[in-house]
Amino acid sequence: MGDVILGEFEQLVLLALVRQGNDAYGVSLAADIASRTGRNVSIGAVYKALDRFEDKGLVATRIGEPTAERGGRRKKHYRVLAAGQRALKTSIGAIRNMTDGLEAEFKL
Amino acid sequence: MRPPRLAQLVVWLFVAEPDREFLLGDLDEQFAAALPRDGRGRATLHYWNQAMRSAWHARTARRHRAANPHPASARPDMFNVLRDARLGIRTALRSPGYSAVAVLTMALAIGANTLIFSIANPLVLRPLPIRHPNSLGWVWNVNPERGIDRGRSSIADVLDWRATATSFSAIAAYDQRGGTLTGHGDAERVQIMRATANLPDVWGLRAATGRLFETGEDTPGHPLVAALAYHYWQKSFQADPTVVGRQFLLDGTPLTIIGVMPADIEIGTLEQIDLWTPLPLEATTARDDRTLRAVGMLAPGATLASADREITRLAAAQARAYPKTNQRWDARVVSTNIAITGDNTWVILGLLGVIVTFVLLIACANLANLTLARVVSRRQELAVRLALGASRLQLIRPLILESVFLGVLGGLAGLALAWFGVRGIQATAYDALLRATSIDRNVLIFNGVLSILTPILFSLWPALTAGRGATADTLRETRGSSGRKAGRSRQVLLVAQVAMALSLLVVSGLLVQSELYVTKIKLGLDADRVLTFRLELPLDRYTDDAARARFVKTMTDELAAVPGAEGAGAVSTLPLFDTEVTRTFTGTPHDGSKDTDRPWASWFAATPGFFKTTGVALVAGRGFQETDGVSGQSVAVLSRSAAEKYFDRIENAVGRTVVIADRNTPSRAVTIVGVCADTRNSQVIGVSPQMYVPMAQWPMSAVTVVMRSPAPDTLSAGARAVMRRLDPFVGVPTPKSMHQMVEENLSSDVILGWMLIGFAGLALALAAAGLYGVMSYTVGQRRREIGVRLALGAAPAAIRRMILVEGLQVTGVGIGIGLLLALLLAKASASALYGVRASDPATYVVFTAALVTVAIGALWEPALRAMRVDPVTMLRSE
Repeated sequence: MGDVILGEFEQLVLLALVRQGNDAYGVSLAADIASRTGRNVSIGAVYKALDRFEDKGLVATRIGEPTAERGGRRKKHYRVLAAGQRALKTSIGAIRNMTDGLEAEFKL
Repeated sequence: MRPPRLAQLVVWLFVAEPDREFLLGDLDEQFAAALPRDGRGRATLHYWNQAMRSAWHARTARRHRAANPHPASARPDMFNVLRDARLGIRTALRSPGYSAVAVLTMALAIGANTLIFSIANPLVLRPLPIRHPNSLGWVWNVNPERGIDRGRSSIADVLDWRATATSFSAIAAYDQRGGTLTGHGDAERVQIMRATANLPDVWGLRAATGRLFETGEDTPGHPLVAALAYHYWQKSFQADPTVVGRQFLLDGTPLTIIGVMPADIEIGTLEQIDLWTPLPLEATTARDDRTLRAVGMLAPGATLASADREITRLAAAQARAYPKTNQRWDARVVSTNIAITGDNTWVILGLLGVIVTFVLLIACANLANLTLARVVSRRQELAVRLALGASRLQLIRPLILESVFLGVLGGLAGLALAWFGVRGIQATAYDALLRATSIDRNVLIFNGVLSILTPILFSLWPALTAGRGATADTLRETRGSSGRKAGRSRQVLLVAQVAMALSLLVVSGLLVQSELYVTKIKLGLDADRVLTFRLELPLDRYTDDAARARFVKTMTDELAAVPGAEGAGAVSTLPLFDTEVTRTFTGTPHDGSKDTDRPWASWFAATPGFFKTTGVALVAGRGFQETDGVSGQSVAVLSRSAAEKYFDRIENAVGRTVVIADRNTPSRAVTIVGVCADTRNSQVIGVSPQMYVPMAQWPMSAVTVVMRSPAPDTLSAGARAVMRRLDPFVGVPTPKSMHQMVEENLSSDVILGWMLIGFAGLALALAAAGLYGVMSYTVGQRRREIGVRLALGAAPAAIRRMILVEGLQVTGVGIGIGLLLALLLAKASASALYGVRASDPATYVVFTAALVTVAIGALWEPALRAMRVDPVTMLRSE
């Protein structure tokens, strides 16, 4: 599984996950991505990416407690595993390498 | 404030657990957060946005995981469909036997449905040649007491409505009559539609050539103008456009041709119209002279319901203002759809629709059974594929696409069959409705949809059963064992087939009996020996009664002298075929106290030769003689039923004097000199009281001529020659034998009867094939069990009985349901049954027996095969 290629949206989800630590879940991830990128993120799309991460062993999950504001439904929390960190590093490293020398243009 | 439930439902439907719970929870949480911040509208909008997008993602995500564990091999969905279609077609071609049976079955079933649809199509779907049919209201006078629900209206009433009704922006009226057109070759008898000048506007008609009526051309006294019907323009004027502006004589009145009507208006009874002239609305016409059809264009804002209310109110006012003529007369406004169709037409067509639907369902059941058998025999293959990770959809899709491929072939073959059927109907039908049958775009679309839906319908169940049934257990099953579930499915299908086939047999049996009843009715006259044609004397050439009487006398004498003729006569209207005139009279022991209870009879003015010529027998007294002329005593002949109804006994009637009292003519006393046999009334199934009077005493300007000969058609040329010599200005249509007219009248019933028989037979054959197929299959599957039974000492005859009984049990359940279904259908179509009751026990018994016989026949061969299973071979093969 060393060379998992992350899509652009997957990178965003995984980065948000790293930022939020252990308690990240659908709403918080979507909100974080939305506020930082200005995109109208679909929770369904977030889950689709998270499902893929789960299949590939990049993230671990934990089922939380039901709350009233969720209509009595439970939360599913996600956290990044080592494989996820590696995948993210590879992806971001690739972008770093490609942007070397272009900092002025892209304000990196 | 709750999140939108419908959006939740969308998510619930599209997203599977476990994700569903978390996703819905997230969406609800977002909604709860957004509500105070963005307000209800935006929060809801946001929820919907999220729900729809999540559903979309979930759809692809789930397939992604279930069907394609290796993303690298994922292919576009369309590619899979094409691959499955190719697989399906290859499978179909590999088993030509199954494919041929399936295609043939669907061809018959789809063909039957396409045929019926092409009959119903012109009624239901073909656009009317009217511009805005939905903005028209058709006004009918109704009189519940006299059973009139589609009555015509009088000129005076129509003028009232025109003046006062606000629901209509315009009201047009029309009627039909015959006339003689001269000035163009031979004098020609033409059928004329007289319409108010605004009719072309109300219907939205455009002239094919020239123009149509203009305002004012229908005022009384305006010089006569006319538009030619398109077909008449083609036929009699070779579509010559210069005919516009030419002058002819219509019944002696000069008339100018102003244009040609559009071709597409020629549907239904309008096919028979040759000429359109303006209808002058003379306000002085009596209010009870109801001859007009009225149709109005709804004013902006008015609806059919509001127009109906207003016209009903106006009719009530008229009844109060003119009690003598309008009492008990009401009026109603109906939609175009109701106005253009008859009532029994719908019963028969509805029944035919039910029947072909049943035929289709039976065919589907058969094919479902066949497919089920095939699927069951492939269960192991399917189980393996499922175990290797194929999705249900992937298993099912080739099966369904294979069926669809066969369905398209069957549909094309069915279309060909329907085409032959339509050709046959067009060649034999006289009825305008049936003649309009054709295969057009609607029929093609219907056929195409059916060709796709039928195979999906019959293959979906077996396919789903296969998908569900194929489990790990299947893999361990040994060859040749059949699933219990599939067995029960087959039995349900069989029961349904038997039930539908039996109900079709019974109902078509009832309908065919009532049609036979109609064709076997004794008409009361020698239809086989009579030639007949109708003529109208131009009023300008025969201005008085004496001239008309003279012409009729000369004509009948000369026609009787035509070589081969055994007699000739004339009658005001021909019983059985022409529209009947009824008159009331007094002077019988059964005169009622009220005017409405007066004795009445269908009334005919006949020449002395009429009775002998048509073969209407005299049962008492005498017929008419040459001496019953203007100077002689006024006489009449009653029919048997009239004499019995009003004088109790035939003998009592002869010699009595009755007074014919009519609103338009002065009362006249007539002495009854004879009683003749009954002839059927124009509905054929009934007999009405009839009264004949001598034509010499009641001269007519329009008469139906009758001539007698063993070979009536041979008189035609002679008759035409006589008429030309006597007066070339009297137009004469082609004489027809009465026999031919009877056939023309009955042709629709005969055609429908044949179709019923054909479809019911088809249903029976399909059901028998289904029984045979399923039992053969079952016996094949149970060879091992039967072999064991035989080895253990079961008698072969007992085995045979076992199979027969099993088959007949299913048949029995089907018969029970079928009899109930038949009774329901028969009751629903009771208005189309004559001479037979909807619950006629004999019909039910006979067809049940027939079905049982066919069922035993279908079961016999499989039962024999079961009996002959060789236990040794069978057991050894294990």
